[in-house]
Amino acid sequence: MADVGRIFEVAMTGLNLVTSLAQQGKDISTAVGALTKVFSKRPQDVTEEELDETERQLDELLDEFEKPLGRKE
Amino acid sequence: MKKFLIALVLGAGITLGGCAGMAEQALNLPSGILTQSVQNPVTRDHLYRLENGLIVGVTALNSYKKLCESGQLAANCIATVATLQAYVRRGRPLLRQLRIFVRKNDQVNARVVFDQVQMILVELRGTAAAAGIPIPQTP
Repeated sequence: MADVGRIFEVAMTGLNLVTSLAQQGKDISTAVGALTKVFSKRPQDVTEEELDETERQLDELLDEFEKPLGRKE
Repeated sequence: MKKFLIALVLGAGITLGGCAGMAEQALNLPSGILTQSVQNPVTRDHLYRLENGLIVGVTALNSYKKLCESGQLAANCIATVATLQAYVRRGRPLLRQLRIFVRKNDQVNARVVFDQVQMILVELRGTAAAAGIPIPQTP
């Protein structure tokens, strides 16, 4: 039951986040796709290609976030 | 005979458990790591879910960063972004190591690094939550 509670909590936070991004007019396709993958796959379904693709997407987002902020105080 | 076998199995279990504890002390590893890594392995599925959870979270961080850059947030967002970037810089080398350990099925190291990544994520989530950015936990 603890797992169900935790998964529900994650789902609700994720959905709130996606809703918030959508309200800001942001592209939510990557976030929605990732959120779906968190819940839809069974352990034996994850292929090496899917894992590679997920890692590529995450690395791109992390690269973007690590770039210096274009605003100074 | 049956009782002898049960005693033997129990004895072996206690002895092996003790060995794991001694090995953890000798190798300066966190308590329970050697037994935990076998009982609760970090699989490719765990990695997949962790990374997809991070995609959702980092999408939110990038959104916050863009709002900050465009001047739509108060000036203290600059410090918040810098703090969050520091967590990302600390976490990325660990994530790269985790990917390698999981693919090699090196469970002892995978568990150690997985737990380190989770600790950084706890700190990152705290900082993000204080700035009003909800970062979902990974299941």
